[in-house]
Amino acid sequence: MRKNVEIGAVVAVDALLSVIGTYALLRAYDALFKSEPNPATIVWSAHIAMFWRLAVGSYVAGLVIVLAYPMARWNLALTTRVTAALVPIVGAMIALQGALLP
Amino acid sequence: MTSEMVLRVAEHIHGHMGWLSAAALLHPAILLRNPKRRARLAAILTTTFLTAGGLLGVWIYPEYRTRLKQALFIHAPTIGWLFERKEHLAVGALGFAWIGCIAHLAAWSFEDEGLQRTVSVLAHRAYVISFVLCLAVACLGVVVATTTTF
Repeated sequence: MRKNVEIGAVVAVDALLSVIGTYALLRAYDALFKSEPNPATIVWSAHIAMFWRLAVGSYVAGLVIVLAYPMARWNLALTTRVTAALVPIVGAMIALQGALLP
Repeated sequence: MTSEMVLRVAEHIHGHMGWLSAAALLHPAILLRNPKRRARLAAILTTTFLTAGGLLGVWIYPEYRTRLKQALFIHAPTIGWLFERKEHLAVGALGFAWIGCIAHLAAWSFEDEGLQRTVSVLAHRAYVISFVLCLAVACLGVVVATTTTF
């Protein structure tokens, strides 16, 4: 039971990191490589890009769970350390994207 | 369609919750500097409060796009882009608060002391990141709210 909590927590953190990381990457890609219309010229659009990015991020999180779960079962220490190292990296990603590529 | 009055009240509550969330996040961000410190209630309450404020923002957002976004970008595009920045950073603030909460609550389940410390440090870092992002979001929110409202 205790082992399951350990694995579940690490996998959940990985999943959340992947949602945030995917969000930052998708927005950065859109801002850098797509020619977006000027928001001042758009009256209304059914497509809410922010929700769409979160939905794609959730999908990626599902994939990450599939990969991270067996990895955590195989080597919990390694998975935990990799997850811990990813926290500041993903934090920097969303901060930089938010600040520089709105 | 939601009435303008309801949206205005919701927007004000959302703004106040943003600042209160930043203040609340400071608590675990300071407390959890010590990896042996337990602050389960602080972690749960802070994350719940931030989530509630975030959900209110998610509820308002489609109405903002319909009623305010275009006018904001026509009259004050700089402020419009500040609002976009606020939304992106808010996603990070919310996500990292959840990461901090999960890591902190689970840290004590780890049998290995080294891993327990790693997860505790992870929780602290996540709350610090969440606090910094939330503070930026709250500041940007004030700038936008002084320019346009429902």
